[in-house]
Amino acid sequence: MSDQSAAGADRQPPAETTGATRAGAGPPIRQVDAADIDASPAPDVERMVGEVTEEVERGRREGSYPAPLLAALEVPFHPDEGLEPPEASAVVQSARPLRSTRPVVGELTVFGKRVVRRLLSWYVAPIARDQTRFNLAILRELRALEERVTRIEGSSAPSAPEQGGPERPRPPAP
Amino acid sequence: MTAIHQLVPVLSPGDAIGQAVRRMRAAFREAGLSSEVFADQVHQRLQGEARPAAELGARVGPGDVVLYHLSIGAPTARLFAELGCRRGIVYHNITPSAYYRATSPRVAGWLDQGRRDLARLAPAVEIGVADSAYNAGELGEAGCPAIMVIPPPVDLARLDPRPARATGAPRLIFVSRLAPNKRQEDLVRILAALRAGGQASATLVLPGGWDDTEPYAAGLRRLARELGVAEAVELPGRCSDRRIGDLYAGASVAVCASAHEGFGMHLLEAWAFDLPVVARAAAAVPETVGDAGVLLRSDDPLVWAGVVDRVIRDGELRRALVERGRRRLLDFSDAAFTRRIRDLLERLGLRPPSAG
Repeated sequence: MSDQSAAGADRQPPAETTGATRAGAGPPIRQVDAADIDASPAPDVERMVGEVTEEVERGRREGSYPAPLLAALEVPFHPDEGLEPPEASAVVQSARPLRSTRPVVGELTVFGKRVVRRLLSWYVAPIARDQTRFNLAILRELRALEERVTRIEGSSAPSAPEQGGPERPRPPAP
Repeated sequence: MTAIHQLVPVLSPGDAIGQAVRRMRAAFREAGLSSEVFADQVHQRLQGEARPAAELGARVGPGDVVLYHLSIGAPTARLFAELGCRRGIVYHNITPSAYYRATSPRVAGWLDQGRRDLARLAPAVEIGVADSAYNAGELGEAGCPAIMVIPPPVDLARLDPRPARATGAPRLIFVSRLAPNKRQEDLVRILAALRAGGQASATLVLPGGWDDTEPYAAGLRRLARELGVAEAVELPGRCSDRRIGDLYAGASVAVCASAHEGFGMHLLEAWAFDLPVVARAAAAVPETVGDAGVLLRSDDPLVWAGVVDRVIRDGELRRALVERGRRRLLDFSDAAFTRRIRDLLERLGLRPPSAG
């Protein structure tokens, strides 16, 4: 990649060292000069990819792949499935369980954190309560809105045309 | 002294934009210009590296330049639009919101806002800087009058690169946040096909956070269970640089099934560890990879598994891909980045004092 305008591109010659250093960022790592790099015969990557693709297509045609594998690879991916409803995180907890697995220091750390938490609770707890109140208020409005939209959608759902019913409005004549 | 400042919604230490912002500031200062970073939010570790975004308006004169890093919608876009100085956009691309609508509507909303910001700001700036020609194309479509492609600077030293192991049980790696556009689910399917096709001990490691995509991460775990590869898929979450380096060093093939990448920093990381790369030919990936990897257009996990299997078994192919990767890495060197920044300054008429 090199400097270029949006319209065109002119490659610049390779620079002198790897992009591993910057001024004042410590000693350079693994200096590499272009001359140090072997001029190896170019492997034909495109051909290799073509061969693999062909092998796979042939394998699929001839049924070489186990059906359970093919079925497993087709398992749909739905990251939005199983999302918690917003109500699950509406209530803000200002105090969380404190634990430590470290033998001796752990107990001291937990004790220290408890003390700090207790000292700051006069400041933190009201904020958490205010935030919870706001979250719940928003959710209440949101659910009311959801209910209203559902009702409107239900009432405007297309129904089967009745014989002899009112005539449909016509577009204006050209 | 003429100044060239940068405005970024969030300045974080670990992400590509945070790295780019700080490296650009260093390059501007090396060129003898005054340069500061302004941000709306600054990570705790970078306090002192940036000034509050709200101060920017009062700090710039009509001849100064401000570059806005655009990758998602943010209130800072409005602040940028109102500046009375010379302006440019550094465009890192905006993931199409459709990928996030089902699992992360909040992110989807900000991505849509980002597209609206792009449409509004691109025609109004003096210059656009794009990470790739792919991104440049989008900037051009949005009406940006002049565009330069400057691949982002990459600080690979933080990962302590060393040659990855080439023997032992095959281990596939893809380092990126877990997100629907990254298509990690395809990699899980590919692993299942690979294990069924003769590489029974193959494993897959997917380091990356899922702060805004928890349902997606849960879906990946569920899919791995359904395909019977739950034990072979590791989701270690967001990792330290040291841990990422260790994971690369313990891998045998870097795979990337992303459907949308504005550049593909992880490709450079893989090359730094002498890993062969097999990637989907989508978005900016083909131009970043060049000939230094196997690019696939197929969606068939069996084809992917077959190709990965060849790369694992064929020593000559593997060596050639590794060498091409090392060669390709040269195109993204720090020296090349500095040269491109000098070109940018020249184009803006901000010649470094030493250059006359």
